[in-house]
Amino acid sequence: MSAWGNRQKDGPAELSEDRHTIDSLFSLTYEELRRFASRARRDGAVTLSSSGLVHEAWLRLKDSPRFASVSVPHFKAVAAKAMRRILIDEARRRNARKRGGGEAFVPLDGAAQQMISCQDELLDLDAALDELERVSPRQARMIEIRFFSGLDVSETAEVLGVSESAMERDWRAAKAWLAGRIRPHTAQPGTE
Amino acid sequence: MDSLRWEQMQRLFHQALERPETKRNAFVADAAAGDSELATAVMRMLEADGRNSSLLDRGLDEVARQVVESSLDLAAFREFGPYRIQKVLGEGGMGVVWLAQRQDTAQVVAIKFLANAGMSPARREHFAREIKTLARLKHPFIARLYDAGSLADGTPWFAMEYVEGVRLTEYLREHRRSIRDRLQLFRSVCDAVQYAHGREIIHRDLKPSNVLVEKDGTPKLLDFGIAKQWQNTDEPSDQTRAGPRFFSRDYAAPEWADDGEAGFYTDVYSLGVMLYEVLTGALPDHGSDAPEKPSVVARKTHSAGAEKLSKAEWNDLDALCLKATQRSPAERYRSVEALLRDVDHFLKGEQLDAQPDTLGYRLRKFAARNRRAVVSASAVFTLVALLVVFFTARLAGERDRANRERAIATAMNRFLSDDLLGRADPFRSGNAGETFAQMVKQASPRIDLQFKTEPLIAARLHQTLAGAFDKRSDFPQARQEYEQAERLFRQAEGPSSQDAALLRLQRAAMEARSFEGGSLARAKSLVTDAERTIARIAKPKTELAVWLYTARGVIALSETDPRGAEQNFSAALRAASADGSFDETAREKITQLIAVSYIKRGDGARAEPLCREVIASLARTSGPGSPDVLRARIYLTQTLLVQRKFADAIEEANAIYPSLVKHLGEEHEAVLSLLGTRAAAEGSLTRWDDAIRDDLAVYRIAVKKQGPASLYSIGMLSDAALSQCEAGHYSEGEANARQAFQLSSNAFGLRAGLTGGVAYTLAFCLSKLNRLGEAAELLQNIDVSATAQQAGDPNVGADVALLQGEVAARRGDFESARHFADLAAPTLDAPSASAADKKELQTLRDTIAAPRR
Repeated sequence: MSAWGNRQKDGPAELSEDRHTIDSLFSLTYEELRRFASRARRDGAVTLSSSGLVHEAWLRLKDSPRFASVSVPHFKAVAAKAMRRILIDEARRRNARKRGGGEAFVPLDGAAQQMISCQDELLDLDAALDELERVSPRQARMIEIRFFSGLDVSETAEVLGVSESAMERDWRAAKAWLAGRIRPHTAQPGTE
Repeated sequence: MDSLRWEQMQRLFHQALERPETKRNAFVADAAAGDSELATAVMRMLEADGRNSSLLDRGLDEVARQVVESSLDLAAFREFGPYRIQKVLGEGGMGVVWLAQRQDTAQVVAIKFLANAGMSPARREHFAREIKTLARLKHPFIARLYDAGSLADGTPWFAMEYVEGVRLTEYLREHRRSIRDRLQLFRSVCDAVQYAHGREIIHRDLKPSNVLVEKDGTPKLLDFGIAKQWQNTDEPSDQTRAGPRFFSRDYAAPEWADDGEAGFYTDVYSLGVMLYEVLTGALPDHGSDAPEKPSVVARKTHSAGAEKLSKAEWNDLDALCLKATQRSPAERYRSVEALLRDVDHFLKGEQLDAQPDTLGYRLRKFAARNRRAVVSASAVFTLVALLVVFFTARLAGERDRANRERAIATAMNRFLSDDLLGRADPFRSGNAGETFAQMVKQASPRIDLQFKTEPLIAARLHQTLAGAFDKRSDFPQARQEYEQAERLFRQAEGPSSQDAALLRLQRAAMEARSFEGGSLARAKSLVTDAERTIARIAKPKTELAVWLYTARGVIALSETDPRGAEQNFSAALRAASADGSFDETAREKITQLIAVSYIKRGDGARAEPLCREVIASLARTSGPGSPDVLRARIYLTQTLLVQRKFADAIEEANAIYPSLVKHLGEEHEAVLSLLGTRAAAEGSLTRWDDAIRDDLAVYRIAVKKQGPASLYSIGMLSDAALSQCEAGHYSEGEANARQAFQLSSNAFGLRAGLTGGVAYTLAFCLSKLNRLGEAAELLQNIDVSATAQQAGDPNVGADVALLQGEVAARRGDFESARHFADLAAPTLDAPSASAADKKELQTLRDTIAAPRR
């Protein structure tokens, strides 16, 4: 546990995770996300992949001096934070609106129940991740990186500085626990 | 749950997984040994593991897509404020546009929402910029902004004019208008873009789908979503570079699509592609250096009315279109105004600017060398401004008359507080600076009244005022004050007054710097007088010797004799170092003057180490961030400029600019010098837009500080005008050049060197506008020797002759053209002339010799 902590400090620390870095990554990731989403809607054929998005963001940013000394996996690890923030913020905002938070908007229909379920699950996951972080920051970080930026096992292991087998073990347990914390929200209007 | 508990849970979880699925729960219940909470938690984990269907297993992709589905989001709602939303009109990178109706006024509008606004401050800023941009645009051919605000959840929106029309290209296909009508329509679009450019807004995404044509044929320009304010240098460049750029590649200029660089010429390119499409119905071959001529394509596509145009007319349209779509911005029309002018030339049946001149002479190539002449002129102004700083600086070590100085200082303070400042109400509204300048002017006559019995104090006061006026380039006032001070010193101290001699030398230096007609001769005779006085003085002060050499040096600089200047400044430095009356800082300032001589000699390679030495020394004595060091770094910037290390010069200028402003304020001479130097470097790199920005910034401050008729103000206005003409903003350039010319001839006379320089600029602008007669007349009246003196460039005569020759040739007056070519020949045929210059002259000769059409 302590070895892990050290690793995080000494290892890939060149890329600061300050607000500015996150925000620029974030903007970029977001634009990509929307572009893919609208293309997918139009053509139906393009599949949206978060790892693809993050990779695209990397392609765009890699030549800028700020990212010059940063490894790809580490970049993606930081991007994961941005991605998490994007999605959680948005889900939270929609949730607020759904609960009638303010504007005199009149719903046309009961559209997008599935979407609402998705965003509730996302908020549950976010809360559970925070909880997990308190008892095992390493595993919380691992979930964040793998889930939100789509890094594969070996990339995640590289960023975190642990062996692949150890990581698989940690991943499975954390995932199972988190899944248990996510309440089922499947398309049941009115249930809470 | 704590860490220990979590470890326990995980251990049990992994142990259970090693057992067959059916036996796991039993194992857990058993191993938990009565800890039912632990057993339940682990069983829940096992269950989730077996189901393998949580959000974490489904992956992020589906979630991400759903979360960002913005139109779905807005489709769920239909009313807000007075607006009732009707249907989606379109969706772009930044937001969704809806058709809506105001319920109170029934007005139909288009409302753009920033989708998912809460998510990124950068995106919100971007959207706010678009609103600000639109708010500044009120033009009949641009869709107007009506209203803006944000929803309670923070989603910003703005309402704009709803244009019920079809895309430009569609409109043309449907209506099959004649080429002439189509050009008129295109002209209106250019008009709108030019209007935006006049407000310094670059659209960056011009394409037919952003131009809707209403039923009555009125075009409306839309979507300033990625528009840019060109002088906005604060905007982080990665915003436009690394950030996603949503634009249509077919219409985007190469420098924008490939390098993320945009100027007004970027819009020119897009308009050019649109014109190509307007004429032919097809797009030019993308990325090709030589796209097919529109005339050829129009025949192939059976473009409406194509056959009605004559061959000559098609020739013109080919030239026009291809010039607008040149891949290199330098080859393109430099502005929409220039493009418009040619469209108008065509519509009126006049000769195009884009058509290679019938004489085969290329005006554009001429530009690079003209700028250089002015570059050295602005460098002179820069030097002048800094020399003033030096000359009014107090020298150290005047220990011998400390007591008397103290008495004078007390009296001066009294005068300053009671008389000068006491009478002015600092709280009076209006321009405080101007009020103070007027106050100082009014104070002068009162000095003599107040200090009738103390001529020495009066003399010191006049000397101080002289310095102040000198610094403002208010030479007539300064001259008066210098003279009065000198008179008073002589009255108090006798004909051999050292103070009087010193003042005479200071006045000589000022005259030498003023570049007014006859001022150099005055400076020389003043120095001769002072020399005579000094010869009579038994023990002249060191200060006097230093000033004598310095004044001689400045005269030499003004006479474009940098070698003589260097010798004199070196002598001044030796004198200053001989005894202890000058401190190190003062000596370094003299060293700087030596560096200036090298700069004037164009010997940047020798000036640069000297400047660096001065900088190092000053950094030791007064700290690396001190104003003296910063000032020395301005000289360094100039050494880089004369070494043609333009990019380095700009970089150095950018590096010192913030501290300089912090220390000295935005309006200090040193800051102006720096901006002037940067402008020169930018101009040399043909970054005209940047050069114009800096020239105009300096000009505005100079006007504020020195009034519009000062040497510096006029010089900078002239520089700005030249850059504007280079950039294709001909009418602005001409207007500014004309204003500078009138100011200069009123203030300094028609024959003054400055007036000559400005006349050259005006003539250049006029030649661009094809007003050749006027240009020729202006050039003829230039006093070449005065102008050469002012520009610090003995080759100015050749420059003027070359432009005269070019103008004459274009007017068909080949005899005069030959005469001017011969005038320029001795200078430009000399081995020392640059290859580019020789080539210019050769082109002129070829033109004269070529058989006429």
